[in-house]
Amino acid sequence: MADIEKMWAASPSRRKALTRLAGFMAASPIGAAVAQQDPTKPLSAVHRIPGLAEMRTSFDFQPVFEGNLLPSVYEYTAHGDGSEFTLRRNRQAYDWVDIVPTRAPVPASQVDLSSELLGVKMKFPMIVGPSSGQNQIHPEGEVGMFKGATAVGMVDVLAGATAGTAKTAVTTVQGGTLWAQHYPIENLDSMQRALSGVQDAGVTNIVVTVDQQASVYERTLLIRNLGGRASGGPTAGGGNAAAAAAAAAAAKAAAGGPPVPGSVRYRVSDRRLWYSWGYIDALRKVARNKLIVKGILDPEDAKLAIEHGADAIVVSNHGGRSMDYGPSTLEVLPEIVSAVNGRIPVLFDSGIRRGADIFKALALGANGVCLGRTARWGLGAFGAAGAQRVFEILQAELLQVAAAAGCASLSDINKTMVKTHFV
Amino acid sequence: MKLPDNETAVAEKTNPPATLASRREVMATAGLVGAVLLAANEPAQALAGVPLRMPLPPPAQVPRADLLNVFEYETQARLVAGAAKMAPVTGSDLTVTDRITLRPRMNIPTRDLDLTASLFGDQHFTPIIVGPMADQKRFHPEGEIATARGASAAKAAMVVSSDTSMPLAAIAQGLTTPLWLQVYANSPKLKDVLAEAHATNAKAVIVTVNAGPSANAPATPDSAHIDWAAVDAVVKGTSLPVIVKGITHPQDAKEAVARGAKGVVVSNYRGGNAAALKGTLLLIAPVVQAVGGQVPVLADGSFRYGADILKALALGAKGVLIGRPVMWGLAAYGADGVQGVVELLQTDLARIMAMCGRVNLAAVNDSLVRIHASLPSVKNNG
Repeated sequence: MADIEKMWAASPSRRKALTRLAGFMAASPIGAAVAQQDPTKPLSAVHRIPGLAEMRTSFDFQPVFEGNLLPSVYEYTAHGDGSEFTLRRNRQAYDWVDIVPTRAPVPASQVDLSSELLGVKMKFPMIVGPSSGQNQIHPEGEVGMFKGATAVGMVDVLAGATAGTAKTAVTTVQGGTLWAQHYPIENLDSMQRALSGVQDAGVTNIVVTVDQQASVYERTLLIRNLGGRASGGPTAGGGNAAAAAAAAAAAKAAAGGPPVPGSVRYRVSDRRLWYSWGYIDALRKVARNKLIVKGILDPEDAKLAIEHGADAIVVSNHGGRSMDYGPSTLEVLPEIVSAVNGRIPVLFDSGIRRGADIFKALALGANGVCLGRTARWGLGAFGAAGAQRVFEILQAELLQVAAAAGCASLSDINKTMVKTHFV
Repeated sequence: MKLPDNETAVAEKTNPPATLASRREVMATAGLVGAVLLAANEPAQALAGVPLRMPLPPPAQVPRADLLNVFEYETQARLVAGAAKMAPVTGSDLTVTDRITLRPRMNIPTRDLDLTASLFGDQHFTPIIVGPMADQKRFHPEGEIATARGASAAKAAMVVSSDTSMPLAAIAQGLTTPLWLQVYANSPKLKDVLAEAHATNAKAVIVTVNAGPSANAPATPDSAHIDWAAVDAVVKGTSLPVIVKGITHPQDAKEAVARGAKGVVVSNYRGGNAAALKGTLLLIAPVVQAVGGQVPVLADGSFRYGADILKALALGAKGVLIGRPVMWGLAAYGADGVQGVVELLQTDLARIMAMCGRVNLAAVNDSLVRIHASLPSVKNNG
């Protein structure tokens, strides 16, 4: 963590200062008078919003993204599970890895980080990870994200892909590679229909998400404080409706109604608690191209994924959105890479904000990385052009770091390039 | 790795990256914003036209069902009862909690989740037990009677302090779950308490060592001060299982078992026992090892999320006692609040178990946890 990041963590933030000022203004007669004079011009309007050309790092996109969105939509992207311990740890973990170049720097023009990954030739080992509701953060939505990714030669993973959305994307944007993210569907016939449709529509590889079985985003309080109900709530799992149903069923059973099974007794929705490796076997038969299992955090699970036919795994804690107090992805990456032992590619995500972060993951054995929030920041801030720009920035940063560390190709980026201080 | 231009630094200065504050700091920040709004006298006015992103604390007495974690109960309790009144039960010690991470496992079916815990002859709905807190009338006019009602609704056992503010018979009458009675070693009213325990059909007696003869007495500093003769007196004085609470050393746990204890509670007694002790989580495993499965080991101390509880269970505890959060619930919402706090922790424990692929308590073991060093001081990597 850089000093400036630390300062932001420890000192009163811009928001807090703004809020204080607003409180002061509202309480003071001057503030009231100003408000009466120009009620259509709130305090926020006097801030200039920086333009696309001014973006220098992925962090630059975040406030523009935030400013563009309804609070509830913003909060959905910003937050993680529970107390957000893991969300924070994901970022901290990059500070526990130092880059220690053992070679002389090479000119950036000589660096070539291209590879062939899961049947796709990539200029950089970077993929746009699946993230849902992109149409809520920008009118260009999923198609815009695919457009931005394609413009820089990156694969895009379409979240919760349906045949319709996949078809729209591949017909609107030519020349790209679209993969589909898939949440397990218990009824295998339905699963087969859904995935056949998606693959017919032009999607190649399938990414199946196996985490987030019962996650809660509790820090979505703003909605409630503006008069709505808090989302998440003390019940858990698979969205509010499912959680509320679980709580209602538990209450009914307690009042002498029909007994409910297992998790529901504890007010936890069982919507996703059936997940099993058998499902991966079934999926393997339906997936025509590569099958990628996303959400692996344990070496044993990595081995099991290979046993059950995964062509790749994604070491991911869903950007801190799956389970609070789970590990950061970077700290478990080395042991998972060692368990996989080169049998299949290991992808990596959660917490990436800079090219140096990507370099560290690659050095610790990842074959590629997925981008979540940064991609959303880009899209939400400036549409497809913003997504494209944030990808370009990260690619350029990665290139610079690799050059400075004397790595001319991906094979040069290995664990001798880093020193880890995981706690 | 340093980027060539200094614009990076400038950009970061104006654009805060993800906050790295601890959750306590996050809560404190939210509280500060709320205080500012309260100071503005008219929150609605302060909100007008300002794009607030920072979550505000809910106003006093938001519907109980809307609260998301026990810290929000703490906020509500302070708003309802006043900070001064809540001061003795305010705060949490998460130093050790935040040094332990869990290892989630995927694709293990957990629909048949079962948190049933067997303790002293009773099947408990979950291993979460309402801990002994003295003089609960301090926080709510109905005191322990409301707590008993809330605990019953949440299907959790309740430990009643011998320094109760309500008659034990009335508390027992409202409690449909097991009642354990707590007494201080050397308490002058030991005989009466034990007689009452039998009369109210209590299922166990907890004797608190290391804490002086009452809740108001200062805590004694270390295990050298455990008065084993007083423990003997309790064991001799009752036919109920006796649980020794306040154990921090494996040797003391062994001694307690040798003297007839049927269980021990790893506890640093409101943090008052041995100032150097930070949290109790790391004390659990050595104690469990020392008693070698002869008696169940329980734990208390700053359980605020389901994950915190799962860590204690993974390290060998068979149950946990919840103290302060229950009082937060009681102060803010009476019996409903007690039920809310306990259910919230039950649900959170259940969902974290599900995500770790542990379908019942028998499947919970130390392969679940990873213990880390304290976070190093932040270095400047520019």
